[in-house]
Amino acid sequence: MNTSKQEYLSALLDDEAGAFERARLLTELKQDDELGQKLNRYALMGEAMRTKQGVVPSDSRDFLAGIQVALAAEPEYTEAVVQLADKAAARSKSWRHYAMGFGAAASVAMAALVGVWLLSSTDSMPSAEQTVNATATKATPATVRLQTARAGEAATERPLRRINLADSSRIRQDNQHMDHATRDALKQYVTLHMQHRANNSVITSIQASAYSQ
Amino acid sequence: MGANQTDLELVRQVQSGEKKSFDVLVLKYQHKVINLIMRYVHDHDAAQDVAQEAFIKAYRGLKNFRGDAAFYTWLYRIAINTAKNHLVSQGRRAPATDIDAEEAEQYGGESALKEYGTPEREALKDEIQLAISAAIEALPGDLRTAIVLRELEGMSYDAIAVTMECPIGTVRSRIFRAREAIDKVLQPLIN
Repeated sequence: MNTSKQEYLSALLDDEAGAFERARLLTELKQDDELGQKLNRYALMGEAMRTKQGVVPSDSRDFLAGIQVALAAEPEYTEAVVQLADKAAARSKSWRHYAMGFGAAASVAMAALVGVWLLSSTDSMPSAEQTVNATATKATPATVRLQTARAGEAATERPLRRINLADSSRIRQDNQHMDHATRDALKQYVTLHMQHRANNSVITSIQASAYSQ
Repeated sequence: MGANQTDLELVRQVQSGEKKSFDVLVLKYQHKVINLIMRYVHDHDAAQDVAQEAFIKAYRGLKNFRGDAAFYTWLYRIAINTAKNHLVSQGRRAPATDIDAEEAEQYGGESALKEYGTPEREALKDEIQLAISAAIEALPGDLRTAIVLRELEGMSYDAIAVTMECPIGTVRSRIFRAREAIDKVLQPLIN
């Protein structure tokens, strides 16, 4: 073992060896038992200096041998195993992401619906019943229709999820007489919602339908 | 404390199938981990067994290690949990408070966490401690300062170079020469 190599070994313990020396020493450490024992003693003296009580050295060869025996039956890692673990971690992250997205979209939906209700309640044109339906379909990502139909007629497309506000809040308004503010608010909401929908596949998209006489 | 490039490289090697790289991590952290576990498990032989178990768990868990934290911080947590589980399995209660991982790097030991070892082992421990202290005392001033700043203060070579007003290569050389001087008295004792 030459002095230069040992000097770099000392620096390696402190993570102060350059990339080239590090790579060279790590290769040698796996083959040279004496070099490994030297690293172990360097580590021991640092530990002994820091610990006022003192350190009882354990035989590094025995200690390592015990671990090697226990791990002998363990398969070596492959890139695939590590990548699978990474993917599993990424999956759990993406579910959290979706959940947060869903919460945000739900808040936007609630705010928009309250807005629509407030605006519509200022009008007094109870000739038609407007329902706002919520639909979730992946196949129609960015199409929103304001459907006008006679009262009592069902919407032609069957929504996957439907929020019927007619029962709960009794929004009554003729779509043809919908004022600009209401229409703009509704459009703005739908645009925002569809942007969210495009980014988060689990978020319910909303189709607004109005029924008029 | 920044990410340790050496550890990270060794971990990547293990993850890509080089099992021998894990041995280097064991050689590097063996004493630190045993010392850490000794704070919970005061018997040295039991602490060694628990430390081995912690390393085995670490190897098995390495597939999930992505380097978000330093390897030692991660290993530290495994070692603490293994020590606590050992205490529970022995019908003893684990301490309610842990030592912070960063603090553990420079931990100086506490009287409440004494080891109950054999007289021979206690004698060896004292002998080693005295030999290391004497070796450090006998070092030339610049070597002693360099090794103390590194091992006790945890300073980087850059910071030591600034403090000692010398090139970084000189710092590396001084620390190495100090270690070699200590190793001369340490090696006969542990062999």
